[in-house]
Amino acid sequence: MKDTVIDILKSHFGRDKDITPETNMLNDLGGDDLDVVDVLMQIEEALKISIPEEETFDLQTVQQLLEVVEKHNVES
Amino acid sequence: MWKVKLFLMFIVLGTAGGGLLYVKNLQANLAISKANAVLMEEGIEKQKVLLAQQMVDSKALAVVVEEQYALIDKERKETEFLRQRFKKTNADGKVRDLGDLANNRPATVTKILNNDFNNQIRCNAIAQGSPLTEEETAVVKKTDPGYNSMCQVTANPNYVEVK
Repeated sequence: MKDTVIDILKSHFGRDKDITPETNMLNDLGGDDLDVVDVLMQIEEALKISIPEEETFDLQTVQQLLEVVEKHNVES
Repeated sequence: MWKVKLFLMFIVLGTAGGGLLYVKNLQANLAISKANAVLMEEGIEKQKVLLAQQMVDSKALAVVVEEQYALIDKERKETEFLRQRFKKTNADGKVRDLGDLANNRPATVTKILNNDFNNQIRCNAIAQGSPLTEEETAVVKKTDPGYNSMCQVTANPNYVEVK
């Protein structure tokens, strides 16, 4: 799951980006809040999961993203 | 004999009269030349003052032109920034589809756009002369309070762009 998320992030923000759990998608990857929405949609599609919107407001770091994805990946 | 004397006297008187007229004419021309020279010097002085003023005006104009170029550059950056906001191309070449995003995650996109709307109101206020707040000036990254997603170049002059 983690590899899929990182792969989606690299595909979205750039293969040359160094992405770690501490990476902030807005500050470190040059993304914005709409990028986060876009990435979430791609993750949902790739992992065939559904993440409620209220859990994804204000997501910033890759760690926060992994946690919310993991939670719903386990549930499904 | 007296005729010869009379003739010579006429010649002497004529030459003296001619010389006198020539000198008078020369003096008149000299006076005119002097007056012209004074006028010309005054003209040169006026031209010097005018030239100095033109230099000052030219420098002021250069500053205004420079300011206009800076303004145009700022506007160009703002336009590009806004274009990126709604039509951003990702690293994989996919162009952002705001409609698709809104369709899939309406609450999140509504929240984002409401925030953008509020930011735009602030942008309009700044454009009308409202001074930047300390919070806006201090912004260096997107998660800082005071970050403006609609006119970042103007509202957050110290923001450091991440490539």
